[in-house]
Formats: sequence, C-alpha cells, structure tokens
Amino acid sequence: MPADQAIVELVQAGRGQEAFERLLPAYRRRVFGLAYGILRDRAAAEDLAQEVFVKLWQALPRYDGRAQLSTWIYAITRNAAVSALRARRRELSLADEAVAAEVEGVAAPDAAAAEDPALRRAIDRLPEKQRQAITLYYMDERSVEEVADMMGIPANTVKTHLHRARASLAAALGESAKEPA
Amino acid sequence: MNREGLDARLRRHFARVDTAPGFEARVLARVAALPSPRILERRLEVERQQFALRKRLRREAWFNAATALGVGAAALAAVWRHGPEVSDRMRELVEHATQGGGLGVAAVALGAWFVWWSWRAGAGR
Repeated sequence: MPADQAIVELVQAGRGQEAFERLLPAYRRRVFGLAYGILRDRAAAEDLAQEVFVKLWQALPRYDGRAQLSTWIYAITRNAAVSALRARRRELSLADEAVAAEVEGVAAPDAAAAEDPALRRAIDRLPEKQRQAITLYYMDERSVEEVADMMGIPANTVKTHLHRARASLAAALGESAKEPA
Repeated sequence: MNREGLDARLRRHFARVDTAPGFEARVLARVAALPSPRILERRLEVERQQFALRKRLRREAWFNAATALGVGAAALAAVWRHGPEVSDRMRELVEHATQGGGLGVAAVALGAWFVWWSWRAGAGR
C-alpha cells in the first residue's frame, strides 16, 4: 500500500508525529472494524480503537519494518480486542448465563442494529470467526486477502467463513441465498 | 433474497457502523498529553543501562570478595605451615623497608591505602 510506504519512511526518518497523523485516518476504520468484529459493541470497539492508537503512538518508534505495517497494526488490534473480550466474559460469567447473554445482546444499541434488528440478531448468532469475516468484508468493501491479513488467517479460510456465514444468515433471515458455485 | 440482495443488505448494515464524530481529534488530544515516544524510549534505554551496570558491579563485587577470601586463606595456610620462616621473612622485609628509608615506608603506606580503598569500594556497592 503506497500510504503505508510513506508512513514507514516517516517513521524511519524519525518523524513519528507526522507518521502518526497519516496513520490515524488511514487505519481508523480498519482498526475500529476489527475491534467491532470481535467485540460486537460499537462503544467498546471505539474505546478499544482509541487505546490501540495510543499504543501505536508509543510503539511506532520501535516499528522495525520486518512485518508489513498493516499486519503489525492488525496484530496489536487483535490482541487488544481478544484481551478485552476475555475480560468482559470474565465479568459476565459472574452473572447468571442467561442474564449475561441478555446483557451482551443489548450492550450496544447502535444505529445499525436499530435499522435492521433481524440482521443484527442473525449476525450475533454466527460463530465468532464467521462474524468477524462478515463484518470486515462488508464494512469497507475489503478484499478477501485484506480480511485474511486482518484476521491473521489464510485467504481460503476466510472464503469458507464467508460462504458459511452467508448461508447461515440467509437461513436465519428465512431466505435462501443463491450463491454462485 | 438472492446473494446480491444479501450482500447489499449487509453493506447497508455495516455502512452505519462507525466511530463517533471527532474520534481522530480525541485520539490526537490523548497522545498530545503523553510524553514523546522518543523520550519514553530514551528513558527505557537509560533504565536498561543502569540495570546492566548494577548487575556488572554486583558480579565484580562478588569476584573481588572471592579473590580476597582466597588470598587470605592462602596467607593463613602459609603462616600455619611455615610460621617461623614467614615471620623471619616478614621481619627481614620490615627491616629492609625501614632501612630503605622513605621509599619503603611509602610503598607500605600505598599498599595499605589500596587495601582500604578496595574495601571501601566493595562496601559501597
């Protein structure tokens, strides 16, 4: 990605502030999308995205260019989101399981859920990896390869997750998606 | 609903999911309140250097103590085994030093000062 190249060059030139000012708009949606795909809660995902950007700001001078910038950022985001999810589950496990499920379901009454609650419910019922794949793929018209990079899994596995997720969603919505073979 | 219909519905759904307005400004305000990463790096580097220095000095102190102990033990063993010969030799050395005048006395004083200085340096770590 040319934007990444420019950011890396700024980091290597010791111009961290400038690099960060370019990185923030370039990765805002992607970091937020990845966090949202894992946490399923808009407010929590936004808080986490903020934390991730603060971490990136602090870690940017140590970025050595061995991994691609995007891969490095996605790894930091994934780790932070998974830790946040585990912490939230630990908190919820203190409550009754049914109550916990209810709390998780209503934790983020965001605009998307309000507009299409049936679809939101169907997405929430998908297995975690399928939900992440669907979220990342449709959020910004990303390619399968980029979603694979974001999730840290092979592209073919992403295709499988997307295929199964679409089938489950179509079934859940009472329709059958006529997918090309 | 066909595949295209489902795709469109998903795109519409996720298009509404975004950060609240002003997200970037909030992040920039947060990082502006933090010390520069270069300063943090420098602080970490200084802490790492201090840790390495303390470790090296501790290791040297142990080595010096072990050396002093070994030399002391060897001296004791020598005195134990060859007491009369050592005392004769020491007497000769002292006589030689005092006959030699100021130079001998200065050499003994310098040796004593060095032992004292080494002991102080070891105790200060």
